[in-house]
Amino acid sequence: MRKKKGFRVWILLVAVFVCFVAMWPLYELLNLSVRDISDYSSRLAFPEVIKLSNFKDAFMNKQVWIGFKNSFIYASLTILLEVVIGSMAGYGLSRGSKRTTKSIKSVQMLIMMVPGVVTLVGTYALMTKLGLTNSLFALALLTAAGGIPSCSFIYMNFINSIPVALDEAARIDGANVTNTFFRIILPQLTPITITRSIMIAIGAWNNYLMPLYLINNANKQPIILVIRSAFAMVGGDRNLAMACATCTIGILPVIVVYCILQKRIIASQIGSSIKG
Amino acid sequence: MKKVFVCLLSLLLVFSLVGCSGDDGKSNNNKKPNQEIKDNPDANTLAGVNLEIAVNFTGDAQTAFASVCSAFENRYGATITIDWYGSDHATLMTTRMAANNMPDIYVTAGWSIKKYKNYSLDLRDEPYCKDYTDSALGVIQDKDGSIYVCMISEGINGVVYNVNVCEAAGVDYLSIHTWDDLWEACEKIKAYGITPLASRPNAGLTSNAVGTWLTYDGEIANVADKLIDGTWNWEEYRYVIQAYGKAIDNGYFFVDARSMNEMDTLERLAAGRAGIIIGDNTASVQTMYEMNNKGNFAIGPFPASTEEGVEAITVGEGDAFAISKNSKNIEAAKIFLRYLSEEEVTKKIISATGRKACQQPVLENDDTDGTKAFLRLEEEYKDHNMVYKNIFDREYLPSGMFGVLGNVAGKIFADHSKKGEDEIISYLQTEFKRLYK
Amino acid sequence: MQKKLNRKYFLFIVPAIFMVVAFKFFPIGNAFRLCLYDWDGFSPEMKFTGFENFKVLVKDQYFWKALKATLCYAFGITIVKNIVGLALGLFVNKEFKGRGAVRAIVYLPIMISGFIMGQIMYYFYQYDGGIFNELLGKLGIEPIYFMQTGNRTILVVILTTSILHIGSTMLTYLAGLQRIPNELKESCRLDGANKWNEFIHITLPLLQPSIISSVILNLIASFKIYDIIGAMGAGGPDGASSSLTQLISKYYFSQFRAGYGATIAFVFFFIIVVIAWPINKYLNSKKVEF
Repeated sequence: MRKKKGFRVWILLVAVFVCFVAMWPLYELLNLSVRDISDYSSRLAFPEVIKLSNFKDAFMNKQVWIGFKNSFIYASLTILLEVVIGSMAGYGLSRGSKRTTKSIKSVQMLIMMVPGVVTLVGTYALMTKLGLTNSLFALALLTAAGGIPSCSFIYMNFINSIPVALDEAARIDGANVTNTFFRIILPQLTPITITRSIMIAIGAWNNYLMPLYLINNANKQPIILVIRSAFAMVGGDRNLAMACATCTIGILPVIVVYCILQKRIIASQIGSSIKG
Repeated sequence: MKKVFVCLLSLLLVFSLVGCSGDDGKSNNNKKPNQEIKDNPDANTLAGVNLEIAVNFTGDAQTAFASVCSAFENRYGATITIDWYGSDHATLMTTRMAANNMPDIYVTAGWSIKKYKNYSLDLRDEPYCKDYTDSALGVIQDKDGSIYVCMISEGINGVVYNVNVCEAAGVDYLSIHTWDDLWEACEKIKAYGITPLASRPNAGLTSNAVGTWLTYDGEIANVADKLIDGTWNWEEYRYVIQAYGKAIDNGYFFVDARSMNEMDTLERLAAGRAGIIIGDNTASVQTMYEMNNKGNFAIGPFPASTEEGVEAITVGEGDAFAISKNSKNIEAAKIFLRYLSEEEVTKKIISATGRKACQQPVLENDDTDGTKAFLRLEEEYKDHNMVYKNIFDREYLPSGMFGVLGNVAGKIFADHSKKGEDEIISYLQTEFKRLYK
Repeated sequence: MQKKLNRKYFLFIVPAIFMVVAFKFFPIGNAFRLCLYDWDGFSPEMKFTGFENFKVLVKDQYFWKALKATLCYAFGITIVKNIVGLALGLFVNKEFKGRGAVRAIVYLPIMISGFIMGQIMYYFYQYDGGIFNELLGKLGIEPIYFMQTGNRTILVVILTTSILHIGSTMLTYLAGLQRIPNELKESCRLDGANKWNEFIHITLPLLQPSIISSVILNLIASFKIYDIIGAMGAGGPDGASSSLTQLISKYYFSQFRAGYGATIAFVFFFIIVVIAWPINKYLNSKKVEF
């Protein structure tokens, strides 16, 4: 009994330590964002004078709201593209090809090895020529292309577990393949689609490299670029606290979504690593 | 579960539709109040015109420019689309040049002649051109007299001092004439117990500050002609490397100078933890006053390399706007530039960018910290042998060398032994050869 | 009949194939084409120079520095993440109250962009006034200059990235651990094995699928490290801790050497395939069935 108690203390200590390490950067972000520009005292302790007006100023910044709107559009478009194309491909692969999943996995692995910067460098000149820079749709296309291979693969695995008998029953009822997919199969995919969408949305929200070079019109900037210009410190007024406040507001939606859906996200991550 | 998904998807669709149509809604809203302003004679003269403006402003300057633009929209009924390019301005403008898709108006960020000349409209007959100060004209006027920009401010680069620290350490910053004097001052500040220099290895040290070693009359070397015709072998650059190398060895820089960011340099000087920044500008002085309003900060010229040499302030194009030759709205764009050079508007922008005004009427009654620092410089350095010069790399170097010299700063801090010095010189030679076409 | 149906199914895959070809294979081909030119990225004229860019690349010290740093990042992060991730996986697999919360909190930093994390972490590692050095000062220890040398900066970045992004690896191992049948462990315990023996002989071999996928996924992801480095030491000193991704975008977008940037990009992709592919093959060939 005593031994068990000691055991528990050990667990508690590790748990607290691990959580502390994970939360520390966020604490620091908050700490830095409530300071006055003239406050460069210890960054470890919470500032003595708390300046909440930084948040108010950041909230009033029109650019932040434009950023939210664009990030939202960008994330939605990416989800639409990736989920629709990915689930269709997953269905086609699962039902149509009798090839081993192994070769498909190899192709997927190869595609995963293409770094985003190669995609960017290889398509950038063409995109400027076609006037596709500053287009959230083009950005979503590029982002989705990176996710589609693994997305199709996950869907394929999932559809493999749906009995083919279901398709055949539908066909006997007179449904064609397209109808079977959209009416019968797609609804079955709902749970995986939801978690997949969340992950895609968060990925898009955080994507930095592609928007940085593809989006330069301020009215098309996703939130990450608004945060970036807050940190860029060009010009007369360089205010770290304001940059941190903008940043805090910028990541707030992600944190809120995560807090609400964390169980689902974690479960899906565990699930997908079993499948993969 | 199915319902949740359907709801989610339809929500997404609705939002993206709303989002896509958002722009139209906004411009409609903008037009309404314009029509109400009837007593303003200018109102609606530009109704229906949309100007696209590409700028590099961020932070406060961004806010200031945005409000200036919306005031313009209200006054004239035009709509304005602003591209906030931030620190990637140069890159992104270059890509737009390539696509031959220039915005109507753009900030030239120092390159109105060398880079943007062929794309910009000649503005020399515009009313504001007669108000330019001489230092401004020296930077923006082409050899044939053309002026391609409406410039409302200029950047003043030099050595920034925390006067309180200097005085406490027994340094009279005004008595500094040569680099040797500066190093002596550093020694005194160090003896006082404070790190003398808050500079970090960037092109401010290795490009902006090197004119007084390399290109002016009476200095230790004058390679200006060779630089311009591309025949220089960079041997004389050793003076620069050796001077900084010695300063590093003597411990004049912060131990972590290499990894400091720009905020850190300003913060440390403002807090009195350092005495001097080599290669900074009036904008920084303004930020430091915000960080510490009890401080006393001054900007001075880069010291001379010999007793006979000149001290130099390098002047760069500040906030300067050009009009694209191919713009469909040239008249409206001209009106916008005239509007920008109105005193109130100019003041609003430069008080945010911290730069110094460069048009006589504005300069005469301006109380921003940027201008104050400049006026103080003019006043205090009256008796010095001081010149105003264009920024070193814009005057003498091919485009791209500024980045190379930034790398060189890193290299000096990493290794300034004889071997390292040779490597740096050969690196400079190769890159100069490659970039000089 | 059968054949026709297959074609119909094939139509479902067409959009995905199109996306992959257009945005993955085409860029690689295009990058290779650009390799052969001296081009600034915007002007209409492109000068064909053959393999000149590759010759420049061999002599470019910044390329070699970035290659070394990138390899360090890729392998360093993979190793640290897998060791710490396995330990954490074992930990959160234990039965204790609030382990769901611990899992969620450890996973949280992944939700935040690496760019933002880099900006924040900079203030931890500052030499003067940084959070870690302030703590050390309170303990009476001399401040450490974390970014003094390239190797030290690389180490700091490896540790930071690994710790912040440990959540996914932890969950991969957790999934693997949850799959191990309890009977196996029990029978092992009945044989009188201690915890360590159980771990070595039962847990570790059965975790092999998790180890394979975790190693290979982390390796590929770490090769592409980009946004977190920007603020943390900015690739210094003198490019010693800059990653290839950073170098490519710097050459292509900031220094207007598109042809040369594309050359590095192509070589970069080639290096990833050459390194990651055999590892993938090798690890997969050793897969145990159970």
